[in-house]
Amino acid sequence: MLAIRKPGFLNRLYLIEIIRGLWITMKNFLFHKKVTLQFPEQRRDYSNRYRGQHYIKAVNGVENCTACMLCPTVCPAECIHIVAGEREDKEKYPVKFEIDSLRCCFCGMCEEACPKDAIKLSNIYEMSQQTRTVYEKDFLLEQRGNK
Amino acid sequence: MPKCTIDGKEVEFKPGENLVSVAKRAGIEIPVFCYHPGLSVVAQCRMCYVEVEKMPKLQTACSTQAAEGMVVKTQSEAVKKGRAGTMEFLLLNHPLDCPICDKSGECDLQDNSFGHGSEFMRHSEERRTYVDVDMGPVIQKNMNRCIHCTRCIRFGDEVAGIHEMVAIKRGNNIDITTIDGKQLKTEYAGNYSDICPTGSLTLKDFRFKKRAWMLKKTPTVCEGCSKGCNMEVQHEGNVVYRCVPRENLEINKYWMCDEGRFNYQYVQDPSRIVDPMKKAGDSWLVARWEELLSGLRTDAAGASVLFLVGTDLTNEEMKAIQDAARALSPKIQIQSFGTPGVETSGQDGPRDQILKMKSKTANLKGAESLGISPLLGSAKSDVVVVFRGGRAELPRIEAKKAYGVGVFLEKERNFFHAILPGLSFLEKDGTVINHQGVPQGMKRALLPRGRCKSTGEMLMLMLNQRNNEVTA
Amino acid sequence: MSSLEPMMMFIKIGIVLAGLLATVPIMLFVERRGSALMQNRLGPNRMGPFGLFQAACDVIKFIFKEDRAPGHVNKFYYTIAPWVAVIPAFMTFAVIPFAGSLTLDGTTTHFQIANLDVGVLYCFSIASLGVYGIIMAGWASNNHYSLLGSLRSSAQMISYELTLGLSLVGLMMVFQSVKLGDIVFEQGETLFTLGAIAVPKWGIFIQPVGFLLFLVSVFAETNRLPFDLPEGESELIAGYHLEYGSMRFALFMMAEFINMAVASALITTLFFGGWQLLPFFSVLVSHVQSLGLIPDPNLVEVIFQGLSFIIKVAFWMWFFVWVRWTLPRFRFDQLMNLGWKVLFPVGLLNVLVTGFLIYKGVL
Repeated sequence: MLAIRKPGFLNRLYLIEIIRGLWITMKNFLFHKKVTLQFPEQRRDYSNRYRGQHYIKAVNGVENCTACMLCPTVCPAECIHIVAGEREDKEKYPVKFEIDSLRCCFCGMCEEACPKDAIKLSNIYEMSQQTRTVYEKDFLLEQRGNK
Repeated sequence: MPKCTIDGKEVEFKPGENLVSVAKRAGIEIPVFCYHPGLSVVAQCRMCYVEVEKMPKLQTACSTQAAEGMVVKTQSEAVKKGRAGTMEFLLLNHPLDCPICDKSGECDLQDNSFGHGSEFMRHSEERRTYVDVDMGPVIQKNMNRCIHCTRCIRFGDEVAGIHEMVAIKRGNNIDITTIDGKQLKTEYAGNYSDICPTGSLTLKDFRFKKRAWMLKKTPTVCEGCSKGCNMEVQHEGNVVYRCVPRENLEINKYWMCDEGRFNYQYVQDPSRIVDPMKKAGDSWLVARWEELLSGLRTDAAGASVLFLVGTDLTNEEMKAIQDAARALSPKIQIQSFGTPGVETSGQDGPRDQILKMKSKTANLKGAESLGISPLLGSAKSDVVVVFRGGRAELPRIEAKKAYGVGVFLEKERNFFHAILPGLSFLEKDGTVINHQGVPQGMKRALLPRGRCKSTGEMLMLMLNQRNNEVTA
Repeated sequence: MSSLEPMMMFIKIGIVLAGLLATVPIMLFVERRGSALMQNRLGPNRMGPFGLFQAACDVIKFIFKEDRAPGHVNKFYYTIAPWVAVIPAFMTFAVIPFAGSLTLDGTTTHFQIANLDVGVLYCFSIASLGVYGIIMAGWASNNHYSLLGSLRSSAQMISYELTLGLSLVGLMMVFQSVKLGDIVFEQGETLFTLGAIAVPKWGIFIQPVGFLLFLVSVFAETNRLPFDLPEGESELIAGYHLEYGSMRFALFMMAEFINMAVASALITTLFFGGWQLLPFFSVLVSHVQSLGLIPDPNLVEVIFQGLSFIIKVAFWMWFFVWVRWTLPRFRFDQLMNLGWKVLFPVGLLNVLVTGFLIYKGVL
C-alpha cells in the first residue's frame, strides 16, 4: 500500500535537509576514497575472456587461417571480408583478410566459428585510431594481446 | 500397380524400380554415395542399407528392386548401426580439410556424416595420402578425399562415352585416376565435379572463389545450343561464380557440357561493351542513349534497311523487334542469323551423341516460329541493325551504316558504327524454344551491367520519340 | 584633496580589477577539482602540481580557439551580448568596501572605490543589467533552445530581484542606511556578550530570515545551481550560450564567476561584517603589531581586514560550488512557486516583524 506521508513543517522548510545534504557532499569531498584510475600508469585488469582487438594466429610464421569463410558467414555485422588464394606452402590461404572495425560489434562469433583457431579476439582494448578503420591481414597478424 | 511398404507407408512402384527411388517418392530419404539415378547401379558404398523383412541381412536399397508386398524399414536399429559403420569406414582415410575443400556445404559426405555417422572417431592411424595427377583445365583432383564410389568411372563409360577414368590397385591402396595419368579429354568434364559426392573432383574454374552456401541460385536455361539444357546459375553480388545442370529427364537428364557450363563468362567479361558507344574516326566514344536512338530511328526510315535478328534472342525480343520494324517503316527487312551452315532447324541436328547440337544458338526454332527468314550469305543493305544476344556468330556486313544492339565484346565492334548495349541471357527474362519444340523460360539472375538496356526498352524509347526523356 | 588621493584611487581600482580577474581562473580550478572530489573522482590533475595550471590551460585554449559565429545569428547583438553580461558584473564591485580606512600623510583613504549614497540600490540596479546580456545572447543566437533559455532567465531574474530587494529592507531599517560603508562599519559593534564571547552586530544575527531570503535569491540571480534553468543541459542543451564558442563563451563564464564573487562579497558585506576582523584575528593583529615588522600599526590592521574580507568571500564562493553539487536543479514551476509564493511573502513578513521590533526598541 502506498503510504502518504504528510511532511511536517520542519521537513517542508527543507533547511535541515539541505544542511544534511551539504554535509554528505562535504564528507565525500574530504574523506571518501576516490575511484578514478590514473589510466596510462594504472590499468584495470580485464578478464581473460575479454573480447578486444582481433588477431590472426600464426604457427611458425604461417597463418592458421585457411580462408574457409566461416567467420564472414557467421558474422552478424558482416564486417569480415576474405579473398582466398593458393600458394606454394599452403593450399588455401587468405589473400585478403579485412575486418571493418567500425562495423564489428566484438561479439566473438568469428572466434567461435573458426575451425582452425586462427581468428581470435585479444585483450587489447586501446584501439583508438586516427585513420584506419579496416584492419588488414598484415596488421591482424601482428596483434597478440596477452595471448 | 504393385505396392510395397516402406517405413509403414504403402508406396506404388513400377516393376524394376529400386528401393532408393521408390522411397524418395514416398518422401523417405535413403542416404547414398555411389548410387546416381543417371548411372548404373554398383552397390559399392554400402551406405543405402535397409532392412527388408524376411531377408536375413541388411540389403543395399540401390540394388534391391521393389517387389509386391515387400516390407522395408529404413530407420531400424540394425540399419542405423550399419550406416554408422559404413560411415566410419568411409571416413577412415578422409582428411578433415572441409575448411579448404570447395565441396563443403554441398558435400554428400558431410551431410551423411552429420545425419548418420558417429560424433567420435576410433581410428588414430596415419591417413593415406596421394600425389595427384593433373586432370586438365576443368577438373582439379584431390585423391585424399576420395571414397571410391566410382561414379566418375561410370559417368565416363556410360554417359560421356569415353573410358578415361579407372580404379588402379586394390584395397587400401586404390587410386581412382585417368588411364596412364592423361588429362581428361571429354567435353563433359564439369559433370565429374557435380556427381562426385566428396571434394576429390572439383572445378578449377570455381576453385576457392566462393563457398557453396554463400551462392544464390537462379534456375534458368543454357543458351549454348538449341538443346536448351536446364541449368542453375549460382551467383552472389551480381557476379556469377558457376553454372550447374538442373535435372530435366526429357532434355538434358542430369548433365551439361563444358561449353554451356562456362558460357556465362562473356557476361562478365571486362571487354564487354556496357555503355552506348559510337565510332568517331578510328576511336570509340561513349555516347548518350538519346543520341544513338534518334540516329537509329532516322536511319531506319531509309530506303534499304535490314534488321538482323540473332537466333540467340528470346521470343519476346524477336517479337518486339518485328513490331518495332513494322511501326517504323514497312520497307524494313528482317532476317535471322545464328550459326553459319545451320540456317534452318531442318539443318540442325546432334553434334555428338550426348547433348550438343549443331546450332550454337538457343532459339533457332523460335525465330522460325515467328516467321523470320534466315540470312544467307552476307548482309547487304544501306543500313544494317544487328540485334544479338551474345552468342550468335556475326555475319559479314556490307553496309553504309551498321548498328549493333545487344551484347558485344570490344573485339567484335569493328563492323559497326554504333553499339547500343543490351542484356545477356543472365540479365533478362524470356522464352526460348529448343530443338524439340519445347518452350522454356529463362530467368533473370543478374542486374544489368553498366548502362545496358533491354531490347524492349530501347525500342520503346525509340518509337515513342521521347528521347529527351532518356536520361541514362 | 592631496596628490595621494588619485593615486590611492588607482591602486584601489587596480586591486579590485586584478582580484576579480584572478577569481575567474581560481574558480575555474576550484569548481573542476572540487566537483570532481565531491563526486569521488580526481578531476584534472595532470597540469602542474595538483593540476593547478589546468585553469591556465583552459584560458589559453579559450583565447586561441577560432572565433566563429554561426551563419544564422544576428551579428551585432551576438557580438555585444557577452560584454553586456560581463561589464555590469565588474561594475557592481565598485561600491563594496573591502577593508577599513588608512590614514597616510593626513589623507584618509577608505578602501572602497565609491561610497555612494545609494549603495545597495546601485548594486541591484547594475546587477539587473546583467540579464540583458543573457536575453541578447538568446535572442541573437536565433535558436529555439537559446531563446527558451534566455526567456526563463529573464523571468527568473526579475522574479527573484523582488525578494532580493525585500530581504534587505529589514537590514536597512536596522542600520538606518543604504551606504555599504556605513553598514559594514556599524557591524563592528557588539550586539551582546555571552560571558567572554562578544557577539558582533553582524547582519546574520539581527536578520537571520533576511539572510536566508537573500542567500536563496542570490543563487537565482547568479543562475547557479539549483537555479541554473537558463542553461539546463537536459532540456535546453546549453541554453542561452548554446551558439557561443571560444572567448565569447569564456566571457559568459567569466560573468558567471564574477557575479558569484560579487554575490559572495555582498553576503559578506551585509551579513557577515564585511571587512570587520574575524573573531581570532584581533589577537593576531596585536601580535603582529608588537613585532614591529611593519612600521604603521594602522596598515597592519588594514591588511588583516582585507584578509578577513577575502576569507569570508572565499568561503561563500566555495559555498556556491558546494551547493551546486548537493542540490538538484529545480523545475521551472517549482522555481516560480518558491519565488512568488514563499520567499516574497516571507520577505514582506520579515519587514513587518522588523518594523515591529524596532518600534518596540528591541533592535
